[in-house]
Amino acid sequence: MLTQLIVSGLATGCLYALVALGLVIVYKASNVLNFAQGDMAMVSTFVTFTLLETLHIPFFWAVLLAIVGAFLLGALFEICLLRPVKHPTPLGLIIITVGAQQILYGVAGWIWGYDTKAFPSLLSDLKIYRFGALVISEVNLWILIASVLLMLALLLFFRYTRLGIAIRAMSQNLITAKLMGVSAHWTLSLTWGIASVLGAVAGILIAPITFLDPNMMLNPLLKAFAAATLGGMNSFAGAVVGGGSLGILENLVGGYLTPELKESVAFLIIILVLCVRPSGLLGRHYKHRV
Amino acid sequence: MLKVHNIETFYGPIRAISGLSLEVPEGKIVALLGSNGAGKTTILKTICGLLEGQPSKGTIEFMGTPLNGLAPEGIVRLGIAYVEEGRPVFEELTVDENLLMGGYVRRDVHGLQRDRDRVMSYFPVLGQRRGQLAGTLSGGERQMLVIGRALMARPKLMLLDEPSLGLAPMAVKEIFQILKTINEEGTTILLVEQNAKMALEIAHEGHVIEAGRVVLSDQAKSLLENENVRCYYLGITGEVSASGLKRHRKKRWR
Ligand SMILES: Nc1ncnc2c1ncn2[C@@H]1O[C@H](COP(=O)(O)OP(=O)(O)O)[C@@H](O)[C@H]1O
Ligand SMILES: [Mg+2]
Repeated sequence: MLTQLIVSGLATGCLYALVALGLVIVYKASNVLNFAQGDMAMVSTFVTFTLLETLHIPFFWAVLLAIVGAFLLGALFEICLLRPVKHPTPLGLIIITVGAQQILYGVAGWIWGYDTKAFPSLLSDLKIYRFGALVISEVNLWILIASVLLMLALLLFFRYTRLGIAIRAMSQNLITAKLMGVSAHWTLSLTWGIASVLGAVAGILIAPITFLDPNMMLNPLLKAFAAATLGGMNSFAGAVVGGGSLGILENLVGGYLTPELKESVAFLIIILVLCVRPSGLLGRHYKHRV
Repeated sequence: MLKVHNIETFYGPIRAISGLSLEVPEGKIVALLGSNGAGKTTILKTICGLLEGQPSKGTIEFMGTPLNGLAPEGIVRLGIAYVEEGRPVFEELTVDENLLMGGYVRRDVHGLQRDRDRVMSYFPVLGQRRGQLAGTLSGGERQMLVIGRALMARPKLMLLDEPSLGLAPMAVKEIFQILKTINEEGTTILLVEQNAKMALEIAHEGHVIEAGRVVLSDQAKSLLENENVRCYYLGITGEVSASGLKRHRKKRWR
């Protein structure tokens, strides 16, 4: 029972973690809380839906196209909405992302309607795999596999590639990064593109469970914010740990106490953790030594 | 190599540099001396294009290429490396990753490998800390890292802003020794310092900056012997009274 709850909680947690990673990457690079992260993902999920249902493109290609589209959406977001702002204030930037979220939400409702649609998926919630005593649904299994692979790819990118290291350098000190020859504009657009792809993958993975409507990412986005804050808003590992633990926590409370309280208790614990560690579980701050 | 001609730089309405000209000949170490607030950092930032829209007047030329209007990313690609004041390392990158960023503009993997070994031989302590996060380094180690990082770009001209500030005398000595070596191996250096004695000992030429202007230029040797420089920047008092010097200075330098 315990392992069971942990594993299925982890699957949900992985989705939170993907969205949270998108938030953290953007936050570190642009110093913006991106309130549009959820609805960028929602739009990408709807695009996938259209590619599958209306254009009858095979699943694999539809997802691939949608991911490319998500990347462009994220990059364009940065180019069109953030780059023109010359001397932004933190509040101004938040309003820009909130505004963009409203625009995306409205446009999605206008194109696809507000009624709930079923997402055509190859994966089933009912089909079940057994690993010894452990039972896991096909959807959850694929969520785990896809998220872990994506996170691994991200880890390798940020650890070992020149561009990945440049993004981290730029997030820490923009001026010095420019002095190394990093083109801040394009690197920033790339960062937004990656964040958008992370959200899109989460959206496509969630859609078979939650169905499809313009509100679908509202709850996951809120959870991702909580997860990122819990883990430490400036830490990639923190987003993963935060997402995973939030998913597991919810599931344990839901399983052992009552499903009604699962979110309340989870958030109560987050609040307690933040009281003790304001910068999150893995949030790090170096003091400048001279 | 670098020709700064009659530039003016403003911070909003405030003029920090007024009509300053400066030349850095290839292969030399040129020292810029001057007290706090004289405008030394502003000069370096203007050269690197970090102050948007500046210089508002005058020209800057590097090996025949005008730098006016270029972005910092473009300027460093021409072969200028700027070691900023305050030794800003990328704190959450390892020492190795910091060095890698230094060579960001280059694509020759083998050359980079060689230059990393060269940096490690200049600063062996960096070799011992390769995998360590730069945020955990001491002040002296940070200074070595930012210099090493700049070297990774294989710059033709290196601008350094107060590398000795706040460091222990031993570390300062080590760093200046390396700067001299770097120069002897072919890199031209423009060195901003308040530690005039150390700077003039390794430099070929020196300029004294006051209130955004060059008030005195000479060979480094002569500057070391110059009475006014000795008094105001080297802290050595001669036999002339302070008030006498002050009048003297005003007459000659402004
Ligand atoms: N960001 C800034 N805004 C306004 N004034 C500045 C700024 N930076 C420097 N200044 C002013 O410009 C002058 C030169 O400063 P700076 O170049 O930092 O001097 P130095 O490096 O020689 O100590 C000083 O009077 C300083 O107050
Ligand atoms: Mg200064």
